Amino acid sequence: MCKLPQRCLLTGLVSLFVFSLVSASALPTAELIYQVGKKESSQASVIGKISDWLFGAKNNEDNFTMISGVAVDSADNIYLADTEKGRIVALNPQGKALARKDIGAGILKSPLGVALDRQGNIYVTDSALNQLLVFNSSGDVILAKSGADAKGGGLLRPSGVLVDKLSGRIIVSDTGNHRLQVYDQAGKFLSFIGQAGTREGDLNFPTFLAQDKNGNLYIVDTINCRVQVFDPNFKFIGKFGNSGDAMGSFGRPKGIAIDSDNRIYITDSFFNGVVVFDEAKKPVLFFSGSADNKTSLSAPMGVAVNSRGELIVADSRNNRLDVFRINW
Amino acid sequence: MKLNNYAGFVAVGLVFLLSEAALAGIAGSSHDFRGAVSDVRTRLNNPTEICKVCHIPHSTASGSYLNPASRISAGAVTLHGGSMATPANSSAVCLSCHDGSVASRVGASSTDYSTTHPFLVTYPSGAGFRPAVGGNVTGASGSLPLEGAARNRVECGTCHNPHERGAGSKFLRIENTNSNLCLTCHQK
Ligand code: HEC
Ligand code: HEC
Ligand code: HEC
Ligand code: HEC
Repeated sequence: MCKLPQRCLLTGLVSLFVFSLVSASALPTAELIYQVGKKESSQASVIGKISDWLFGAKNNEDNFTMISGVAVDSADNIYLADTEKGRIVALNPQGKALARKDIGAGILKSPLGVALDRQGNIYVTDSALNQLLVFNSSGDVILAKSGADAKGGGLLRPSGVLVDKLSGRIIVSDTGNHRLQVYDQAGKFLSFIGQAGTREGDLNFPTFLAQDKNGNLYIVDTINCRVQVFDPNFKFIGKFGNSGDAMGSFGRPKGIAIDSDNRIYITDSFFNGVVVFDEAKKPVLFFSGSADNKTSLSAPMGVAVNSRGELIVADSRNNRLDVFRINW
Repeated sequence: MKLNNYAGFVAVGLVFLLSEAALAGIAGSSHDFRGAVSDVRTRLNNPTEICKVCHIPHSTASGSYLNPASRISAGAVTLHGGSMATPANSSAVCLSCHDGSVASRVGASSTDYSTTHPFLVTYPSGAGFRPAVGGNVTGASGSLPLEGAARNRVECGTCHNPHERGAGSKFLRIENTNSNLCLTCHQK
């Protein structure tokens, strides 16, 4: 150890310098590629002009009010929960509305989570109806669940929803009850995961969910400011993150997506940004908008990653989707 | 030097008093997210504790949990009838939970009070409104603080006290019996 204060300072400076050199070369960057929905009020940016040119002035399809969950299908079509408007909107991979009617309009009151299965069914949680609703691809309700049973097994403000890639089971974040509920494909209740608390495996307002390529389940444990990882048999196997403003810490973690290389993307609606973790769960990037600061996220919620590795962020309070490319 | 120390001492004392008051106001309310810990200092230092849900700790320095507002980057927002505003100070903190997931949603078409009231708006001067003096609107039932750099914005924290659940448990600065809250700003 260094004994003289001056020496300490010098060593400190040198190591700081080396650290930043090493990490600078390894850090990925985020690049805004397009937006769907209301544009930033100051419209001077080139990106704004290009996206206006590409997508035209705002029309009904992209006139969203608070977007929560987002999901992509195998063809990279985007499904978003237009929460205030009470509908699910489907967009093509370029962000143009698909020629189909909105899903759930007139039924949904506060859609938050969206997930898709291989058959093209659409799974939606509604935090005002306290229900999980499943629509087929033509928009008919094929399943409506209010929870396990009437005796304390009901859903309270459900948010995240996931269709297990391996088993087809439906996993719902029962946010207000601090647990998850698991159903089989037919909607039969199978089990709860977690209970209120702060220990490993406990949950404190769990919100969005994701699965990595090995089938492990990632739960954003929002008020515990961490992400918990469960194996495909729903056994706790790890956690990361804590409450704070350092790289890798969270204020209000919400949405989560995992790409094909098992890199993890988590939105933070308190710090208005996205935290990126590499496959070793090391935090490598935080961004809160475009590099030129022309766009900044406002209370981002859901996030999805498409087959090109692009990140689709529900920029909730800005009423739009922001699509980013991560340059690794 | 002595003066500074004294000022620092007073500041710490004040914060501590505020802390105790905030604690009593939040304990047992919908905003009490803690486990079973009783000592206030333990609470402030425990990541699962009552204050840290809004006062996210700085990871490098201590004591910074007393400044939630400065951690929020301003962004455009559209709420209640399309009014454009910037969530500053308290609103962004509240809305990070009151989005329909962790807590009930507050927005344009909700079925609660917000359908009848615009928020995140600039407080006007003129007929129908009691004048704001020094960033506060004061009526017969009490005073309401406006927010923002110019202290002229109606945010969540104008009507709601984040630290005091109040008699009706709605965290209101002035209970709305006989429309007392409304009449603090609106003049007939
Ligand atoms: C529901 C969110 C919330 C919780 C929980 C909360 N605070 Fe606050 N606090 C705020 C907000 C918002 C402000 C900023 C107020 C403003 O800008 O008008 C604030 C400001 C303060 C201040 C600055 C002085 C003041 O009153 O404006 C102190 C001191 C403080 N909080 C202490 C605490 C302590 C101690 C706790 C835990 C017992 C706590 N707070 C819990 C939201 C919260
Ligand atoms: C850490 C998350 C969180 C934050 C931040 C937060 N709330 Fe809440 N709030 C809740 C939860 C959870 C409830 C109870 C469930 C519900 O009513 O949605 C609640 C309930 C309420 C209630 C109803 C109380 C009752 O018991 O009927 C009011 C009013 C309220 N919050 C106002 C605010 C205001 C104003 C702010 C910002 C100063 C704020 N909240 C910040 C989580 C939060
Ligand atoms: C102009 C004053 C005013 C403003 C500004 C305001 N509120 Fe309220 N809020 C009220 C009143 C009054 C009630 C109580 C309604 C009742 O008791 O039925 C209330 C109730 C609530 C409730 C409880 C609703 C329920 O059904 O129990 C929540 C949650 C809430 N407010 C959150 C917020 C948030 C978040 C903001 C900022 C985005 C905000 N409020 C801004 C006046 C206000
Ligand atoms: C902190 C001050 C404040 C309080 C308290 C307050 N208001 Fe207001 N109110 C405003 C302001 C500011 C506007 C005007 C916003 C604008 O037009 O830009 C407004 C507008 C309104 C309007 C017109 C709505 C519209 O869409 O144009 C109604 C109705 C109203 N208030 C009712 C109420 C009621 C009911 C209460 C009590 C629950 C209340 N207000 C409490 C500040 C306040």
